[in-house]
Amino acid sequence: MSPQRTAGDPEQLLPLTPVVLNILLALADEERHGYGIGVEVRERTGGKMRLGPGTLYGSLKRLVDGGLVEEVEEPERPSEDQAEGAPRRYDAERRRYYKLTDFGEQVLAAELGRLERVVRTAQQKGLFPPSGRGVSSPGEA
Amino acid sequence: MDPSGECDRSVWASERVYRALMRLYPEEVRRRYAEEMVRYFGDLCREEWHSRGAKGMVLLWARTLPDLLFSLLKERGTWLLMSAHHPEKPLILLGFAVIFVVISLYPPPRYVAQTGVRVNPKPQSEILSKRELNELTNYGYSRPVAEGVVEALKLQMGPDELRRNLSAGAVADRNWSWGEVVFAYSAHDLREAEMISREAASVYASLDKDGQKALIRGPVRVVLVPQTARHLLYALSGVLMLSAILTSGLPRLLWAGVDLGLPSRVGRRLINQKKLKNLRKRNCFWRSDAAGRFRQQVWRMRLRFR
Repeated sequence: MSPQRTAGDPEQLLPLTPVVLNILLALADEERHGYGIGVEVRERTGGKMRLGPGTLYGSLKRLVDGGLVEEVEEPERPSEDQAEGAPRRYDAERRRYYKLTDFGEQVLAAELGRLERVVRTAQQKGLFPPSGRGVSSPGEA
Repeated sequence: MDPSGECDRSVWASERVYRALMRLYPEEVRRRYAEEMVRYFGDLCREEWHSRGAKGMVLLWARTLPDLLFSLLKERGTWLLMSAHHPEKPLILLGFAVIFVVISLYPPPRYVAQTGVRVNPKPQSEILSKRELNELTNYGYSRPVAEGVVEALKLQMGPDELRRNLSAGAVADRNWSWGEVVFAYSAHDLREAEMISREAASVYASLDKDGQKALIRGPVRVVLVPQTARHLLYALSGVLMLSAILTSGLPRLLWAGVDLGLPSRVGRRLINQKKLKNLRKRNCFWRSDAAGRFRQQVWRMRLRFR
């Protein structure tokens, strides 16, 4: 297995792919298992991004190997997702949860800063918001 | 029909198919994420079934297959690159590479054929002086001197032939000793070395045949000296390179097909049994059939009693 990266310049990993960015965003507020990440990404993107198993776990593997995400044991929680219609839980097996590392947070912050600069540039050129050229942003109104 | 039972059967079948397809992934991915991926896919199946029924399952498969194909190619590509460039023992491989480069700087092995020609201990100075003979011995390979010698000695051999025999760089070593001229011709090819060395000696021996110049006489003596040290070095480098290859990921590349995790029946037909046995002994790629069957039984029981 490749060594985990625990330090380094987060800028070197930019720009992130949309899948990786969304996975990191999903893990930003709390640790989640694979299915939780998939559901969170799908709901947040309005169903536009549906992560298949290969894409999700391939990205997670690279994130874990890169030290951006770490695997943790399933925390003790009340089983709130045992409601009707929800995916059935495998009680005999514990799920593997994923958590953002400090380095992962740095990379995410760097990527968001990069995106912010892109948006700012677009605003300066009058391209954002895209509803019309030269339209002021809501904050300026 | 019980909708819940139908859902379970569909999901179970889908999971089973997906689990079979997981065999196409590299062994490392299977070991780390196979269970998670199958479970995630099962969760997606249940979700689709509850929301859109069988149609949702079909749509899910339509989305999943391209995802599986592309991620599979990506993981396989990564695995192959890692196998090629990140061997298990990089320091050992680096050491072998350094030794091989050092050894490679040596020229390839050469054979040396020596031909000794007896010279009259009392040379007749009017025919060929010692200086001329020495000049021939030392500078015979250079064209003007060689042509001059041909003229001076009135050899039957033409200048082109003499030049060919004593061509530049061909005569590796020439020793002049009183009473004997030794020509040593060095070449990669043993037969070539012997032939040229004999030809060079025949130039001198032919003088005796004419009877006009009794300067050189005696039988031609050919000594073949293979350069054993260089042979040993190259043999050593070959062994080292072989070791380097074996410690690198190259065998894993060659055996990438084994890692596909083919079902045992197919695999047994495709793969040499002896090699397969070795691979199993090293616990590299192949899981034992018994373990696979056991896992399958556990998986079925778990679904049955869920």
